[in-house]
Amino acid sequence: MDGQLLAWWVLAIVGSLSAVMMVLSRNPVHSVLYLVANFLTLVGIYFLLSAPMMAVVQFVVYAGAIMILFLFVVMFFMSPEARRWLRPEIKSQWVFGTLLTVMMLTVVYISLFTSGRVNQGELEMGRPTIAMAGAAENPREELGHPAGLGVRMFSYHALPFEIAGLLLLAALLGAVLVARDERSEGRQHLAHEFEKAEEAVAEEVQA
Amino acid sequence: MAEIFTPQVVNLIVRGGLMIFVLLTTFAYLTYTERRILSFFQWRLGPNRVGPQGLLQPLADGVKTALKQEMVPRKADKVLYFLAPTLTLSASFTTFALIPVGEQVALSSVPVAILFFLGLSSMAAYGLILAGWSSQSKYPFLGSLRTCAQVISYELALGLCLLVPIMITGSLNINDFGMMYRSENWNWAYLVVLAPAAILFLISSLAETGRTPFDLPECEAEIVAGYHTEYSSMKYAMFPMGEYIAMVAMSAMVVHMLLGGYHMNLGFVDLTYWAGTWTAGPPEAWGWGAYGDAISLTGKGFSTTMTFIVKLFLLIFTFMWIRATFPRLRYDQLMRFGWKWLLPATLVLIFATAILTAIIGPVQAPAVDSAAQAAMEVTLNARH
Amino acid sequence: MTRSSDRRVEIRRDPLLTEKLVYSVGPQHPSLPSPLELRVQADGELIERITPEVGFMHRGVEQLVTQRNYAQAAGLLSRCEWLAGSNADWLVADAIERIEGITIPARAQWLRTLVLELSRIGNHLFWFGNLGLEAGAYTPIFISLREREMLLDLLEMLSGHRHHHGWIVPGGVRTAPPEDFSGHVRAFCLWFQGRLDEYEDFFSDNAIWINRSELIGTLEPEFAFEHGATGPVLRGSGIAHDLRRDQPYAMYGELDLHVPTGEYGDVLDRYRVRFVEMRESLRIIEHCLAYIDNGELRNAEVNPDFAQMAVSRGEVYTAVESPRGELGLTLVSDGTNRPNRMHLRAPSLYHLFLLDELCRGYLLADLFVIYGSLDIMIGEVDK
Repeated sequence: MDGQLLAWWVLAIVGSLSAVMMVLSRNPVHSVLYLVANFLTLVGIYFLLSAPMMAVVQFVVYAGAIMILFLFVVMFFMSPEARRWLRPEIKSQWVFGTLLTVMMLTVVYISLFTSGRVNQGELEMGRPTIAMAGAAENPREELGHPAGLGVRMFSYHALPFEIAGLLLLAALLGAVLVARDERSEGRQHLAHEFEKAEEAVAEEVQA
Repeated sequence: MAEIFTPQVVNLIVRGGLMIFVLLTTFAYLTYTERRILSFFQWRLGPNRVGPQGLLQPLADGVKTALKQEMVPRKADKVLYFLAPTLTLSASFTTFALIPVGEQVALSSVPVAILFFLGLSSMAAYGLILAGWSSQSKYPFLGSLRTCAQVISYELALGLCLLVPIMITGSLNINDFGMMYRSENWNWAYLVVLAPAAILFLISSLAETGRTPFDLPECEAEIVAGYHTEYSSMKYAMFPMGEYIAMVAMSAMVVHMLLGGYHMNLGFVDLTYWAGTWTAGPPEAWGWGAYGDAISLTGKGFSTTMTFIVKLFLLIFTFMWIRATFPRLRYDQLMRFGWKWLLPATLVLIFATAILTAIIGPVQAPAVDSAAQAAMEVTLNARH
Repeated sequence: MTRSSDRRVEIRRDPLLTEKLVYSVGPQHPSLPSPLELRVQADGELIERITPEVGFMHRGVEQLVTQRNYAQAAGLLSRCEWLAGSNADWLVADAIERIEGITIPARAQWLRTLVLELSRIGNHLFWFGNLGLEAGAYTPIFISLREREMLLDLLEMLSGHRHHHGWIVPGGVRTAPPEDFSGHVRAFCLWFQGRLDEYEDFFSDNAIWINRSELIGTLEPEFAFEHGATGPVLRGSGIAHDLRRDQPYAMYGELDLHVPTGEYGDVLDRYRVRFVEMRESLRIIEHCLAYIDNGELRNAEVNPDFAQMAVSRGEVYTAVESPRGELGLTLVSDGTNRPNRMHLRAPSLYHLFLLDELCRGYLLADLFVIYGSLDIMIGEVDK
């Protein structure tokens, strides 16, 4: 057993455990932290796959930035005054949960091994081969490295990249709109605009 | 199992241990330095009783803190309460694994070190946030909410400032930034963007490390002590420890990326190299690489390390100077400043850098120039 | 900017009906120098209501003085107002003088004026340092205490005490100033003038400080007047009311006093008013120095033993413009050497209860800057 394989096993076990604990934990803050732990193991696994860029993006963007935001939001609802842990709403909820999970895992398993992308023979335990293919020849060109990723993103995938950015911006503006104070001018103005737009649509539909 | 502990790995572990020891000493004496410097600004003496000139004060403080009674709030979330200071401290320590202190005097040479650095600084924020939340008390809670918002906002400006030298050098590896400041690569026009970037980075790093005038997470006038109100004894001490080390790391980053790194380049002559060339390096057989340089007080390793440390402490002095001078911003002013002023300013700066690099052309992509550097990539390449 | 554009946030009903947080600030809190509890009801960090809880320092001074002679009463009262204790001494002396109809020699009057102004500067210096701390600046307290130390030395030179001087006694003052006193005071004035410029340089014009204080904690003049605000707080709101000018006592009638006022009644105005007052006090002190060398120190007809002094039956109210505002004393005497009743009108008490109005709609961080700008002394409030 070499060091790399050992590391993979440790990461895989910790990652899976933290994923399970994230679902099972009743305290939302703990859930968020289990998710962070899970992300950190993913970072390690990306490193093992010779994809430092992916690893770091996972680290900075997901574990670093997004999960802090999650924690921020969760903490707002979990003020020290109100210690309301989440309780199961439905009796024997876990039965349905388990059933659904098993069903989903079955689907994933079937699709994974029938799609032809992965040959059963190549998928040895502890030697993930999906992302490794071709990485050895020219690492700087690969997606796993910053330069390669940058080139791909701003040439081949420039349009989807920009569209995704636009979509996110739209979502952001929507969130601002939802969160804004009812009485603020911007909100009233926008609401007015929306009403006009709705009316216009209604007229068109009628016509 | 034996093959895991190859000589390279053992070497790394020893170096890492050395680094941690140096950092802990640095922390202890930074507290002393800060108190003496503040007292100098404030017309008083500062700690001067323990040992000559009070030099043993950090030791006395350490003993006192360690012997203090440990108090844990009854309603605290115990696991997180214990985890939080550890997280902060270890994240700050890990940052130093990425930062070279002299030419080829480094623990690692990670190709994406800058991004890792940013990620680690938000990992440290987890500690602060969890500390506040797990104490289950109002003031720490407010403190941790403030920390959260502050760290998220200022990390953006911080990262964008770092983009300026990244665009010039075209690399995410901290070791490569020294290239930019070598005489053969240096162009004075870079100063047009690097100088403002340095100032903006300094401002955002003040906020990121929670120093005056952005020390809102723990401002004692308002929220008692912020996130660490409910902490005592060593667990409390770990927060200032992490904070000071983060401050050193931030200053190191400014030095590396924006203040000429470990070079003392005057344009026509690189003083550091000049000082480094008239003394011979250590014998290769020692196997210490450039650490040998730094330790044996000879060669480039030593002169660059010294240059780096001098620059570092000048910056840290600036941090302390600022603490002695400014009042604290209000929370909403801090956010407004971060989002409406700092962020647009950095964006403009990036635009300017893009134009500049288009005109002058970026620094040639630095080649891995020696076997020593390749050896330093041991962290990443151990698997091959 | 006009008053209407102040930075107060309008309190609205929260559509989400989230919980209000109630912070209990004090009685032990790093930014409250004396024990006081503020119950702060806030929406997040936005203050909605403040209820001050007083009494943590109650010593029953007004009851204690009725069982002690006048000299001891003056000492106890000066311990309610320890940063400028001479004001309480003056009040007791003046109340007795009014009842008995005692005249005071001119030299003693000038000396009293001098001491009152010196203690005003001392108090304002402490206030300045404390305000710096409230705003998160650590340096002002140290440098302002450095100057205050010199001031205390001067007062010690006069009376032998640093804080509670007991130097002003009915009929005049207790002891003659030492020979080189004027020279020391002049040297201090010269030094302090320069230091004041330094403060202005590094604190008053600091952009962060201006941001923290401008249009924060605005106090409408009508509201201030109706709720009994006096001193710098009232003047900060634009009402030029100063007992030294409006009901001249000691030698203030002889002086041409400039009464600084603010425009918006915000923290910055109160801050600036106090700074101008310090410069004004320096001017008064320099004026006084010309008259303190020759003349009688004390009316010879008055019983020189203050402790044995009996005061004839009477009732009187007298007030002094203390550094915090109108410090008044009601004395009911019954012919013995003990007061029958003494009541202190403490300006801090009135200012403390302005806090609710001042802070509503501002953030938690503003509370402490506003509190600092009012210069509240708990010893005076709780008595």
